Amino acid sequence: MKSPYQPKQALISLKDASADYGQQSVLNAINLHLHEDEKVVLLGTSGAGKSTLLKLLYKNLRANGDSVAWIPQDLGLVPPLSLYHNVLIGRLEHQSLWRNLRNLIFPEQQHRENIEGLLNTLQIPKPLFDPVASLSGGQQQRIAIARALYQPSNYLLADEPVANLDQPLAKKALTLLSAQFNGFVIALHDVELALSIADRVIAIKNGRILLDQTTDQINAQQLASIYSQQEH
Amino acid sequence: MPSNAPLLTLSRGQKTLIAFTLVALVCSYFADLSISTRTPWHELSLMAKGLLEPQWPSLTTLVAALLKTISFALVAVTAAAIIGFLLSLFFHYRLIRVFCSIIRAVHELFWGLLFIQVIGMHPLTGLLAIALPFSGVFAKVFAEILQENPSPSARGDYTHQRLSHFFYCQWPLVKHHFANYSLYRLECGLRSSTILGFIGLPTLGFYLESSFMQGYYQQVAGLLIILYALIASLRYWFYWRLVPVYVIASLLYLSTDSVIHWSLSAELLHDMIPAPLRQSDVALWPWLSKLWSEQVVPGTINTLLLTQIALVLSGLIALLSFPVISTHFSRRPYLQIGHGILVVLRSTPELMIAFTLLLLWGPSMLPGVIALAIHNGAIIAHLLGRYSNQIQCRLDSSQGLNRYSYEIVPRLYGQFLAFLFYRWEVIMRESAILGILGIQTLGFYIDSAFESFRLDVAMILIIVSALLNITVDEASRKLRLLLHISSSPQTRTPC
Repeated sequence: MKSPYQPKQALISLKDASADYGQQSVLNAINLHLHEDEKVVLLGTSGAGKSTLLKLLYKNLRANGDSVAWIPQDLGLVPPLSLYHNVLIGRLEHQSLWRNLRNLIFPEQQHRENIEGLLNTLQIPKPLFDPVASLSGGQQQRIAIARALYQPSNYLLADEPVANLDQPLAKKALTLLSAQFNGFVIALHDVELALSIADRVIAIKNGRILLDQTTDQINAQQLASIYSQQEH
Repeated sequence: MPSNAPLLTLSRGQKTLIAFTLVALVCSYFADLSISTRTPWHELSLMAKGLLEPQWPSLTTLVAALLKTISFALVAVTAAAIIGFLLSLFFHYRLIRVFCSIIRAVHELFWGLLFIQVIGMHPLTGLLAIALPFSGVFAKVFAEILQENPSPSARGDYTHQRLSHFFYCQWPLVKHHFANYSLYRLECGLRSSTILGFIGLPTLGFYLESSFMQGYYQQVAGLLIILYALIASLRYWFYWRLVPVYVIASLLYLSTDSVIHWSLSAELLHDMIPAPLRQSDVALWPWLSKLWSEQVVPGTINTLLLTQIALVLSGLIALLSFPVISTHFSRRPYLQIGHGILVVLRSTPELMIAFTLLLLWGPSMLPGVIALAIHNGAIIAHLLGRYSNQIQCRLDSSQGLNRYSYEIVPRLYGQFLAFLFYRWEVIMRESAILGILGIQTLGFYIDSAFESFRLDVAMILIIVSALLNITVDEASRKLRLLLHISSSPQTRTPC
């Protein structure tokens, strides 16, 4: 399939990319060009290959040395560490080692204010220095979002970052992410939410790109085909 | 500005470790940690030279010592596993629990010293010295495993078919844990059997000690290499199906013509009764108060000082050295080298390390502290490294010290405390035993009492050291409960 975008300067270009776990092929013949200021939503049923594609994109970006914020599906939080420190993990690469180590025991005023503000916006009414293990699943997901928001990058890759949040909160979190990052690829399963933040929708099915359209060109029938049971 | 935010953030686990560190610092102020030899480097260079050119003892000596070491360990550990298993089935009785904690609270060398007095230099001495404390340990650990793997069907109302239910419902769940733990204990048994040579049994330790005493460092090196090879090769020659063969062969090999003079034993048992109770001319109160102020108190204080300092230092060494075997921080071939170093450090008997350092630095508590910290630190580091390799980090998690401090250590900190407090009791037992090398812990006074045939004094001091161990064991259990850290099966098996 030919991508509708023919960018002058793509951030990521995948040509005929594939991925497999042992014998089983997960991704097949993927051709993609992504801009650094493009807001892309990735749709598809579970097992379609979204997570694998995101990991592939991440590795490509890192190989080029680009800074990118990352929210994996399993969140990757450090449960015994506090809310504060888990959010601060987003900044580790951008501060000196000494400052990181000092912050483990003596939290900085500036960071504290920033992170407290961030957690207020995301509606986490928990003390800043409680361990993340004490949070509910939805709250933990918002900590992972806060960690990404606290990361000084322009591009974001996120795998189902609002799966455990109710509709208003999910919308709010996505709006924050959308405002913070110039470009992103976010995997979602909620079509309505997807259309509300995306410039471009990519749908994958059985490891192949089924649909790649700008949001204004997409129609209901195309969207319905993503989740239909036929065409195996 | 955030209100009521703390300036300093410490979890309960961190506070615990800081408290222990402060205690250790206070202890080190009171402990004698001086280096008294003037030329430690000369002796060290001789030792290094010896290590570089190991010398092998004569083949007959070697084979005999090796077979004795293995035989003692095999028979004693097998017996202890069976007795421990039977005891673990009745571990819900308080009496059984107390009995087990008493027999495991006395170090195998103390048991050895005791049985040498009562039954002489007979193979039974070595077997009992290992089997008794090991039975207590087996009973406790097997009972913990049984508790963590409850039978899925039976809930205890089956009085007459309890054993059938056990073997049908619970045995399949636990036998794997039992086997793993028993194999680990066999490794410990080989080490124990070796160091029993220090008090005269004809195992590897006997030749190790005498070579050491005479300064034949090349032979020491050769013997140590044989010990490492023995422990490292365990997995290649040990087959479960052959256990009966091993045990019978060992018993045949160990059996001797020497007879135990039970009448003499009875006399010696009589000597264990405190002097004032069997001799009318000794007054009870002065005897007790003299014993208390001259031996019990200084011995206990020194044992405690040594334990607390060595405990904290072990933890420090473990935290600093586990990265050498962690895939998060190290790559091949450095990983293999790291593994090799930790294997050597943890299989060298702590008594050997202490002995070496005593020769180098002269008598003080420092050699004991360092020996215990190295040995136990290496064991905990090995466990931590293995545990850290199961941690999966995010694709974007940072590297190096950032990863160490923000990703790995926070995740394994709970396990670290569990490992450390689990070894508290072990370190305490070892602190006491280092006394037989001249460090003035309880073992020093026990050893001197045996040497001057004051069995009553030795008995009282052994009971004191057992009580001390039981107290620490209980404190460690309470602390782990308080910090919500469980003793999972992996806490127990360092290999």
